[in-house]
Amino acid sequence: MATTQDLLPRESLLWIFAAQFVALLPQFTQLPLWVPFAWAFAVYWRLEVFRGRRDLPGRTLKLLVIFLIIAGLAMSYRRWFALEPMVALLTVSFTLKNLELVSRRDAFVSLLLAYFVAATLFVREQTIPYALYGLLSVVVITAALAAQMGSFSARPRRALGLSLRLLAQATPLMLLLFVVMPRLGPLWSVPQDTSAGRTGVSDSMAPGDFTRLSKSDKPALRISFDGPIPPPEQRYWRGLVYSEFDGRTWRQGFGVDPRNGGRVYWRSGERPLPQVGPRYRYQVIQEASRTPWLFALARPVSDSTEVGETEDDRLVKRTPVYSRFAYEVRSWPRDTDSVQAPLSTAERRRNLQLPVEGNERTRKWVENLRRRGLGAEEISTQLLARYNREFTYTLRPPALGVDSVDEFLFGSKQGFCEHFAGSYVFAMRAAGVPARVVAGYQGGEWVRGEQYLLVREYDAHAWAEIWLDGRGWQRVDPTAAVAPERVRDGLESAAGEEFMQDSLLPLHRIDVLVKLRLQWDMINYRWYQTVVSFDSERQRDTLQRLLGDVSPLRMALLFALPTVLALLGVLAWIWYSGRRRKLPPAERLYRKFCRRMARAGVKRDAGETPQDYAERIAAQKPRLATLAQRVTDAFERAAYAGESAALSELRQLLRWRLASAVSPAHKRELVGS
Amino acid sequence: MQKIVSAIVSDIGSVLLGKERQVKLALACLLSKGHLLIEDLPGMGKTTLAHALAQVLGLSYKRVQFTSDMLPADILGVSIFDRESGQFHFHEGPVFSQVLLADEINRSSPKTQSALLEAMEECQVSVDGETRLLPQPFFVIATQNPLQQSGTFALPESQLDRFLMRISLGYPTREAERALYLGTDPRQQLAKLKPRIDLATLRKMQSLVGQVKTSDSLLNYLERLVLHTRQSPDCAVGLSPRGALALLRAAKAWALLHNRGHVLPEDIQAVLPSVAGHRLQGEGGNGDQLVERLVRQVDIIAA
Amino acid sequence: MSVLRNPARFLTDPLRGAMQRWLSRRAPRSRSITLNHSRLFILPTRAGLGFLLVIMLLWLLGTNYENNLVFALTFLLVSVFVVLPVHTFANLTGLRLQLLGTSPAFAGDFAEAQINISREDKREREWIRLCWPPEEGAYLDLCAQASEDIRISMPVVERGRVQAPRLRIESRFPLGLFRCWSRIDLDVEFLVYPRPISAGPLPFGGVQTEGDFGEVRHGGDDFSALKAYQPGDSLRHVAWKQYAAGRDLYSKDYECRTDVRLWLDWALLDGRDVETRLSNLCYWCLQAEKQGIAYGLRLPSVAIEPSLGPSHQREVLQALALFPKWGS
Repeated sequence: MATTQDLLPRESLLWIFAAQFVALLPQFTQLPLWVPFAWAFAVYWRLEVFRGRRDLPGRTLKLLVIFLIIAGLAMSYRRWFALEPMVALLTVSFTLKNLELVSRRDAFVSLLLAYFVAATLFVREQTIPYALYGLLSVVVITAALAAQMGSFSARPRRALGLSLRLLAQATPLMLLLFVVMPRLGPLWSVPQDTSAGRTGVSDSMAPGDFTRLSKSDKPALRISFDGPIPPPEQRYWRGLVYSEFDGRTWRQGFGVDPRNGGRVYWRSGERPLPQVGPRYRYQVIQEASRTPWLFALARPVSDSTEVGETEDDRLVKRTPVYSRFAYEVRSWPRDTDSVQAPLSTAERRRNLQLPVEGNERTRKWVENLRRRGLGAEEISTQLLARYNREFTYTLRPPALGVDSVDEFLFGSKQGFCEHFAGSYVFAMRAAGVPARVVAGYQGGEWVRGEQYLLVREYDAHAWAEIWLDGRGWQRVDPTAAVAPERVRDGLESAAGEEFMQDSLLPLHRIDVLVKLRLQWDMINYRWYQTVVSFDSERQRDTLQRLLGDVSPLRMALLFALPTVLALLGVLAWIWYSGRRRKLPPAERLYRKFCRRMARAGVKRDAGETPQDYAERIAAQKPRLATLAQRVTDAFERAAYAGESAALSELRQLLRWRLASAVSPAHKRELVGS
Repeated sequence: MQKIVSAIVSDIGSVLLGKERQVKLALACLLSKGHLLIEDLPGMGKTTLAHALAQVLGLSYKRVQFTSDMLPADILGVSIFDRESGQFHFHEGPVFSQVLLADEINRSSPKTQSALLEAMEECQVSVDGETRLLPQPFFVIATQNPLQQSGTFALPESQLDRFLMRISLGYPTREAERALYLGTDPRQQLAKLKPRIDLATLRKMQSLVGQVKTSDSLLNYLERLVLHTRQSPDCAVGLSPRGALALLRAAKAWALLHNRGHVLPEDIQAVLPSVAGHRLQGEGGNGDQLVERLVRQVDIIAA
Repeated sequence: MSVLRNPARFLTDPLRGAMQRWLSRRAPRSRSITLNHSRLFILPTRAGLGFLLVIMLLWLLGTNYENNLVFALTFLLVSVFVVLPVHTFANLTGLRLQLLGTSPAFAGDFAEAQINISREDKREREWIRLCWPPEEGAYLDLCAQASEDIRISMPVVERGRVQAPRLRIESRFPLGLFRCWSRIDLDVEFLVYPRPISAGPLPFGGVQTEGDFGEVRHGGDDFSALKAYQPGDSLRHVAWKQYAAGRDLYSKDYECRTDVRLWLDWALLDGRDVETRLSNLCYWCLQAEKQGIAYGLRLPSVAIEPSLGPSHQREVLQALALFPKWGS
């Protein structure tokens, strides 16, 4: 049973609820609607209990509530082993705990849980606003902990001030730990947040897919270069290769999709590198896409962990990118690689695959061209010229029917990149040239201040690659034929009026805002670069920069030096703080004398005057009589008559005479007596 | 200085046998310009002490026996109409003297008591709208019968505070009493006493009291003592700042009497019972017991 | 025998004794104590261990999700955990405790000590608890004021002078995750009066005395004189010897001197054990004081003249409290 002192006062309750609310607020949108309501109801109930209008729920009622809540969770979540059910479970345990929030222990449990809930927020998002909000939660929760201490501490200003002070004092050590503490990889596989919808380039392409992406200006990639930067028309960030066409949708198909027979080289060096060095070195920071596809310039090689290369020169991650992910890439553009292995039969067949029937008009048109004896490159040129002459590039292409290629090529003649890429590859395959659709991003905005390339979702793009014997895979961008500015300057200039037309406010037209947005993205990039993507590799780099060379000795120094300094400071302060107010020197010396006399067996009483004490010493220990008298006289003169000479005399007396006076011989006498 | 003091003390000691300590206290009280209250049974030598003190110091001396029917005018004096000159003449009361023995002060009514006490405090008397200064030095020795005796009006605390010290003479020691029986009549001896100092010397001695040094250590001790009386649950009422000042002044005078230019803790301890005894009261016994405990509990050396 | 009944004490008692000895060396007894690093101990509380557990869990979360913000939060909490003991310590160090006094109490009641706590620096101190475990004790803050007096009580069972055990001063400020404490010996000694146990009404006139105080009553067993026989005198008092010697019929007059004042006498309660006697006397003392009747006390060693009033009562009760213990 809790004693009265352990019962929670009103301020404690309010603080706990405030802390819970702050920790839960961002989770509310993610949770099933009934969970926040249940929480609010529990809070209401507990406050009613505090006002004395209601009792705490009984055992049966509690069991019923637990059952109801578990049933509710089971109904809301099919999958148990995932992040959202975990957060929901924590919230629910808050709720239940509120119904039996009685003692200080309950309060502690509740607040410690709140820390954990606040942390789960970061698993979902690691952006600056979330980080700031998380910090706010921690401040409030810590303040709530402080407020549990009592009336004075529970005042909002005091509690928050205390909390801020504590956290501020903790910050230097936190930064040190952040830099120094080793990061182990995941100890076991954990459920990921799968709640949000997929964005970005998907693993299939049907007409209209990329149009959807063109409406989003969310950042997709941030790329910083170490060395030369590719010109705008070379910035093709390859992510997916579609080889299989079913008449409407392009897919990766068997043998290309790493999840479906596609070969992936996880270890570096498994695939021979070109003879010359790479042309581009860069780091890509990819936003969460919830897919394993990574984006890089053609023929990429990456040494980052979890990243592998596919046969068709792409990068994939072993697990989907659930949160921002950074990887280092080296790229060899195709023209640097002179030696080309011939295309295998299986590859050739795969890249010539077409549905058995459909789009007859296109097939016929291509047949005509072939019959005129044109080679692969001429047919391509013909086709591109046709695009250039007769087609328009639009963000709002008309809907297409069953024979989508035919309808596009000979009917609507309006389309977006996927129409051009799809129809081009179809035509080339029909002409017997191995071809494939490549999807990814094209272009990017150069952010001058931070020296990186910002690629947004609307930079998503699809293009084609054809196989030319002796020259290998060649990139062909049919969109460039119809709208070269798309490739050179980006979507905004190519689509003109149509660009971002659906957005609520045409913010992209206001110059200042565009600049501000770039600034904000720069800050975000910085944030991501320094904080979020700080992994063991970066840690090593940082330490190397700090220490020059990461040897255990230097590591120990880095860690030990500030620690030792801080400890010394604290120790000095502890010593200083515990010291009594300095006594006047004479009294201090006299105290010393009294202590020695006490050790010799004559203890001074509190109210005893020095003279009386000296007389008592003389009576009890005649050997010490002269000494005691001299010390007493000197002390009285020093302490009460203010003679400075007497003080030094006293000091002298205590230094020399006493040492010999309470000599071993004397001690023997003491022991004997 | 020391010679004068010992001469005075021995002179008075010849009439008041075995009371050297009380004599010194009375002297200290006089030197620190305070007034003295003697609480004792009748016949213990209160009057002798007062008279001898006045005699030895060469001061004028008057004695008033307080009774219950006494009026303020009996002490202060009264204006009498002189028919010949047709004017009022002020007849000075006994208060106009340098040493006044107010005998059995607690037998008079509170009104008369306060008339005297006011005069003590202000060193002046206001009669019929005219203010008259009292002679200097002005030293009142009041005696008080133990409170249990019947027919007494107890002095209120605020009045007690006007007295710098309260002492009691107590029975003489056995030797002193024997000597008393054998010796001559004290009254005759009293008449034989000669003044040892003149007024100027007394004034100088009084001013010397102010020059006695008090070190920080000593003031700290004083502060601890005073604080203890205020904090200790034993004492219902602690020492007032006036009480603390009185203590310090008395201790200085005591140090001076012992020919020292600075105050020692034992000086404070010596005067503490007489200075603080009547100012303290509390649950834990009477003032003297409290003082005794106070001395035992408060450390002389700072901790 | 107690060792056999409770074998654990066999082990803990020497340990406890050693602890006490160590403490008394390290933190000697004194009426005034300044807390400093040599007296203060500090350890995490259970909540503090819970906090560590949360840190562990957060670290696992951060590691498994490779989430740097979770790491940052984890390290922030670790750092807070490192900073906290300094604050907790600072809350107590430099405090000066002084025993002002104790109030006497009756056995079976709570005895109270008045203690002054003061600080010499400007740091605010909060949530300081003073107690004699397992009592709840008292809490105090030193925020605006630099010094405060508090009363702490302790149950007392035995009469006499009772030396209080070491006082515990502790603080969990600021977050309750650390507990800083000290066991200090302020040399607290309580005067404990016997527990008042009812012994019936006040024993008026029950005391016969050898002295000449009081009034004479007829009856009793001291022969005083012979007087002429009057009809109605008890035949047993007739002086038959004298009658037999041929004189008149006399009757022996007996008398006793009886003290009419109220004496609470040890001898009145013969036959009870020492403690009960003292308890009964104590009860009478309180009753007499309440009813305003002057009373005196007579113990084998002490006699206090009858009187009334708080100081008299205190004297009487003190005599009762300090009566030698049986067998000592």
